[in-house]
Amino acid sequence: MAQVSSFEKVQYQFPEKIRVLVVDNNPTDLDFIKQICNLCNYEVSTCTESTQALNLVLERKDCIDLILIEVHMPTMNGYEFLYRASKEIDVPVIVMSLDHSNYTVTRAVQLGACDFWVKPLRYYQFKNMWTHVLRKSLKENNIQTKDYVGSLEDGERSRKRGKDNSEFGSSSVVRDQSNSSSKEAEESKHRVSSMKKPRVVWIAELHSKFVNAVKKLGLHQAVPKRIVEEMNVPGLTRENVASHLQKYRDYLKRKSEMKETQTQEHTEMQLPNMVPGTTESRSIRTLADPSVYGAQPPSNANVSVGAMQQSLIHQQMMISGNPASSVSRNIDYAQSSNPNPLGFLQIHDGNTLNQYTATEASISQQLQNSSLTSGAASSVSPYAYGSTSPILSLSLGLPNTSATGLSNQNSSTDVVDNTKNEDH
Amino acid sequence: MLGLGADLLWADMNRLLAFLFHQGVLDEQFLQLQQLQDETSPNFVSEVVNIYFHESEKLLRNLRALLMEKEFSDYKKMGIHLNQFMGSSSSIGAKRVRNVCVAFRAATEQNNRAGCLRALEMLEHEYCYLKNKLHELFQIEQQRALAAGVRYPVQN
Repeated sequence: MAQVSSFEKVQYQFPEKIRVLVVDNNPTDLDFIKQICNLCNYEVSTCTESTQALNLVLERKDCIDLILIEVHMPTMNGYEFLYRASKEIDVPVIVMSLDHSNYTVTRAVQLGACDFWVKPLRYYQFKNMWTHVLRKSLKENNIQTKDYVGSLEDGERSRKRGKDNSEFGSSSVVRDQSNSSSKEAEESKHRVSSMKKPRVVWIAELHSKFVNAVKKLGLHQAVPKRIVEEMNVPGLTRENVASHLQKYRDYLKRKSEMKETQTQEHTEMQLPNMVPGTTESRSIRTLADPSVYGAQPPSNANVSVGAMQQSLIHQQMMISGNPASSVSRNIDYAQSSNPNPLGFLQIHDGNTLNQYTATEASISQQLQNSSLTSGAASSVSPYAYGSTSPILSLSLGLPNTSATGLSNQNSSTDVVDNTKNEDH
Repeated sequence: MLGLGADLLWADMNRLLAFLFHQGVLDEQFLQLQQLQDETSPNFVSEVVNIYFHESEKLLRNLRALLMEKEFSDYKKMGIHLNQFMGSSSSIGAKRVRNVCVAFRAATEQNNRAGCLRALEMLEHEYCYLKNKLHELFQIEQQRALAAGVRYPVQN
């Protein structure tokens, strides 16, 4: 299957071994990021200076898949790097910083950053990082995304679908027909045009839509054109429905014949999930068993048997973990993976710990005392180490600053309180 | 008896961690760090933290040097140092240190020298406390690793 193997190649190549360049003047962050990248199996190179990074990028243009860079750096900041790098190479750049003010983020995006990460960074962000590289390569090669419900000949519809699917949020819909290198893209396009017309796979959901449409229209009024309209499935052509309708009619005819002759032996239209309303079949049908669709008299075109077999094979593949379904599995997992691996501290997420605001002063007395007895601050310990309600606050004689930090810290310590009791 | 010492030490470690969380000295980012440690990188946490200590002490020295200047006026430079300190502290999960940095930064933005001085002292204080506690934590961790590896001789 030429399509499947090239998609496989893309899908399995990607999360592994993407080459990341990390630029950050902060050695702690750099080490942290390096560790995560190693755990995710990325190839990581690091720089502490933008100038160094620029040189590296210019030297080895084809050796970097993705760049991760901090905005605020002393010699050359992330913006300048972005500006210069985007002129030279076309690599997805993710900008990161502790500072996530609107201005900072907007400017980064304006300069061409494909994402903005707020520090402190989390493992799950890195886990998904490769999607940026994938998206770019799909766009580059102008991949025709193809549903298993569509067919190639319907070029217009699949192009439209392609646009919808360019946002890499939807899971199982993107089917890649070529891979990242442009040379192979040409080859596969060649292959595509000379390939047999791919079969529509009538999965249970689709089939039930079909059955409902037929029922609604009435079996004798059910013409393919009207069924297509009724089903309203993008990419489904009249021809697809016509052939399926023919099979369905045959199946119904057989069913009624069976009932007439009153045999217990049911041969049914086998679908992986049961067609609604039919009884459970006794036997397990094998893949290659043509009797799955009922015994075929030899006069019945062999082509249609072959077609059914092939579509059954498609179905089986889809269910039993071909790349398509495993992609959807991967992505579902990624989407549902808990960003905070620790459930009990989850409430911390989203409070102002990570915001760029000042905390409010409240231990004013002690600090004012310390300022009076100049330099004696060290003798005054603002924090009772054994205290049970530690609220970090500072009084530096500053005017009103945001009060959000205080209340959130209250709640956060409460949370810690409750959950940590178990440990005692 | 096997590993009982290790269990006790593990309990000690958890108690200390719980205490530090309770105090707000550390936050869940520190736990994220611990999660990144595995068999292939068994000393990751202490490695990163040591880098952090090294860097932080440099930054603190720079900050103090700037503030002690007679003709001090380079608030912007202090802000840059502080940003870095803030960034690394938040990556480590050093919550209290980070919060002091935030207040310190506010003082620099107002060109408030006295406020900066006070903030610096508090920062140094906070940082020392963190360092001591983390050293303690690593010590317990080390002892625990040793104890867990000890095999008691079979008593006849």
